[in-house]
Amino acid sequence: MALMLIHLFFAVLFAISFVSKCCSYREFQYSIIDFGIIGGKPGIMITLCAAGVIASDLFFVIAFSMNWHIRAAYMLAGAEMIVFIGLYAKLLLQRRKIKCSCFGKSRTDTNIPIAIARNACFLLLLIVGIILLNDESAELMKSWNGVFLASAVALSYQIIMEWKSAEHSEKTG
Amino acid sequence: MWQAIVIILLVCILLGLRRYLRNRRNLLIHQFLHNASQSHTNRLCICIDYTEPNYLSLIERTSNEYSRLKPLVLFNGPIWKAKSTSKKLPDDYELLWVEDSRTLTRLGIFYMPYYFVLDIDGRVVKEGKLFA
Repeated sequence: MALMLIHLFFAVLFAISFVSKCCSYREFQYSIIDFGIIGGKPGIMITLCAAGVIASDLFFVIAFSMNWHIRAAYMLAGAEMIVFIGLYAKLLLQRRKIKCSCFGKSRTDTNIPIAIARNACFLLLLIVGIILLNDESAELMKSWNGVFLASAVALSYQIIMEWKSAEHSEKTG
Repeated sequence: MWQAIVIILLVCILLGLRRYLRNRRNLLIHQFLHNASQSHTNRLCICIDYTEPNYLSLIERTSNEYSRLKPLVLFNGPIWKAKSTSKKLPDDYELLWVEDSRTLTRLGIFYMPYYFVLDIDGRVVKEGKLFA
């Protein structure tokens, strides 16, 4: 049961990340540029990197929902969390600000210590998940319902965020 | 089957909402420029913050890229800085002083420096952050 909840949580999380990044693809590219590791301007490398992150999000949604290559998904997701924690730590040390666009378009700069803590929690949950993982439990959870649930939650979340963002614009104006 | 219908419905709602918000944003930009500027169609708008280093070269480079469009600079910063910048720009450039950065946020501009191109109907057809 605990493992199932962990898988569902990550499926929903990565589905939200996937949908929001697709909806604000340009802003996501700016975030990659602001991290300052690939290049200072939009270009082929930035496009490839953005596409790679979005494709990995999609893979995680399917993997965590369908238990498809689940161990690889745990490893990759863990590695991604470690990379992002490292990048945020670098920004914190350099005292630079960034709009991370991890879950859609950001109006304000990301609170970097909170982002590090958030990713550390995700990493911890991934470690718990991989400890609990065994072949028998993974076999039990193979269903398309997880993909549907994650997609429905992510799309609903995006609809609410777009609407709230428009309302916020009206108020600030 | 019903799951697919729910997903298609949610996608349609999302696309419809985005289209509605895009039209509303175009209208907001249209209204803002209509009140503040002489002409608001077929233009290149460059949004600049006074803290941006080398903003003059950014304006020049961007307007050269879209040389067929009349540039309009939306300048966010103190008024004295806006006036001094206006004097440095060529005569055919128009500069609008934006006192409050929230005005730009309301127009959907969250990154600075930024540019957007308005077509003959006043719709945003191209936009993006400017990089030094």
